[in-house]
Amino acid sequence: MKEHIKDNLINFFIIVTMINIVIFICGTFMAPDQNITYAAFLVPIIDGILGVIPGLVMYSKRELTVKQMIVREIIQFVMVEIIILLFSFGFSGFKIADLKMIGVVALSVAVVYISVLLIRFFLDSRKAKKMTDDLKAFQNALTGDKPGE
Amino acid sequence: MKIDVKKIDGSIEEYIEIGCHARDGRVNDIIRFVENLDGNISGTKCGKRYSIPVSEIFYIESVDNKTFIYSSKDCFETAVKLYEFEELLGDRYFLRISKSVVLNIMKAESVKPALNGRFSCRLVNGEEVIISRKYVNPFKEFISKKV
Repeated sequence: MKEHIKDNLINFFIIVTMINIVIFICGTFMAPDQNITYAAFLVPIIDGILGVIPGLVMYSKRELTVKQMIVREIIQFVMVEIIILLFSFGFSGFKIADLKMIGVVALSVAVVYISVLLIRFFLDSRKAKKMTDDLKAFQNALTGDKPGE
Repeated sequence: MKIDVKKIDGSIEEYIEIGCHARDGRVNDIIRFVENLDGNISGTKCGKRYSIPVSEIFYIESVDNKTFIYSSKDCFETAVKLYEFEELLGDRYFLRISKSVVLNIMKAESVKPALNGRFSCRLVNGEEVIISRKYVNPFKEFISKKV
């Protein structure tokens, strides 16, 4: 459980950073003259919290297989999309005029979600490389071989 | 049970002889214990009993309350529980890497990321076993501290 919470905390910070980048890019191209208030700074944080809720809820004590993990990841992604869209457009009711904006937000959520997975994969790859090196050194130290032999 | 220990000449191979009325569970436990001390683990395959050298074990897995020992190509069933193996083989570089697997570190070849904070460990025979999130840090510490 501790590892799960730690993982989601890391995800939260990555999500907040990615949302800031997405807002910057979308804002620059779609509404360059838009003035935003201080309250806008809360949007990435709130979206970040909403984005990690499905991950926290879907904690499983069982050892999941890779297939189950993929299915879980897809369900989690759909849940994040629904939650963010409901939070962004649900209060004012979904209007036809907002269709383009809904599409942009849905796409942004997908981009952020994939980015989080890619960043985590990149961080884990570095960790795995270090572990492989340590493993080799450990085995060589025990067998008396020199690295590379 | 009477225990008789006698010294023998250094030229003769050491042995243990058990005198019993019937080969029951108690006798099998003694045999298993001695074999474990000697660096062998007993396991069964197709009803036949085998003695597997610890150095040939790749990993030990628990599935549905049964314990299986995996060597390079074979799989043997054993009555010993996974946690017992963890204690018994801890000083022989066997380490728990998930709820159901104890791995022989010396048979691990490389580590790569799997989904969701887990890692996949490739063994020298090409097989892959999962290091679950909870056991990643103990695994990391184990292989880095002893070098």
